[in-house]
Amino acid sequence: MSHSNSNYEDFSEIYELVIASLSGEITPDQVAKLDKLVCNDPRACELYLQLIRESTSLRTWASGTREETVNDIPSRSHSNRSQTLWWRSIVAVASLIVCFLVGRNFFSSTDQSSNMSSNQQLILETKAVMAEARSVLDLLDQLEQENDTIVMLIGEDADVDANNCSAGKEAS
Amino acid sequence: MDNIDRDTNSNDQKTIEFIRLLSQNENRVKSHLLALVPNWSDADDLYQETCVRLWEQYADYDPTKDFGAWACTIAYYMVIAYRKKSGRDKQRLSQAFINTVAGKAMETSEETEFRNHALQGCLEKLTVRNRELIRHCYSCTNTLKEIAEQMGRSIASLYKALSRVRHSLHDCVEKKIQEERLK
Repeated sequence: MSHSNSNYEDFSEIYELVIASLSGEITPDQVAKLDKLVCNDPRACELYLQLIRESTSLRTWASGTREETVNDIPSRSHSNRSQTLWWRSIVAVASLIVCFLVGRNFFSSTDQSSNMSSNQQLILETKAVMAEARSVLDLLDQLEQENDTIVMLIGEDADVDANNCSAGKEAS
Repeated sequence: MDNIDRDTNSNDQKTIEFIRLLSQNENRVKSHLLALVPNWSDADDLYQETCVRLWEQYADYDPTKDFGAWACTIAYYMVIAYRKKSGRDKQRLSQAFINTVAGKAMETSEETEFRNHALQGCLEKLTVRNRELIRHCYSCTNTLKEIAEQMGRSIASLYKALSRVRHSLHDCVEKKIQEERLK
């Protein structure tokens, strides 16, 4: 049997008393107040029970969503970054193949002397492309390192959260 | 050999049935304990001890009766034993409180399941900020003082904020129940 909200208006302090009690921070005065309220009025007792049941449900809900936050974010993040790295790898390898083909065509040229100036131009261009490819590979390495660091940090955060919880439990 | 197999099979069935019933009634037993010992840490310890006791006494359970009610009765006696063991202290609620709450809590209401469902809907209606506050305060057993320090706010403001959100959640659940009654 439930009552309308107005029936509970006199007992708004029960909210704070329940919160303090669950957290283990209730004072002796507050204990006495909660005791008196619940024992002397059936409506207060009913509100108290409803708040306790809601607290149990809220804890189940919060624990479930917390697991989702801690476990899913690193894997999602890792997956997206891996995908990006994969595409960057393809681009880098393709650049290297192009460099190789251009270089091979250049060295297999039969009339090197007549095309000296244009060949020198090609050498410079090839070197530029090679340098570009190398910088892409360097960037790739850097991104991979950052990715590992982020995944490691998120993992550490999750551990710290879990430790805080267990430490808090032990403390209380 | 056949007898041994049959016994093993029967024990497995018994274990599975016990786990099923306990899982179904987990929230009810936890809430019952929490109502009698309103402190997360103590109630968690008592729940574990109660589960062991329930398993020890499972042979006495009559399957035609309500498992939840049987488990809550045993939980009540676990609380009484716990109070005797822990002795007197100023923080303790009176025996009259325990008896009043235990009696009222045993009156299972059909509304309990609906209230829980309504609460999930009300949580979705909260602002992101308030939902995160609830999530933060209920996802682990840190004291509110510790949580306030982590959040960089005063303990008094955290109490007020949490109390306000709990109040609005409860009002929302009550409103949904009133609406359901009018249907």
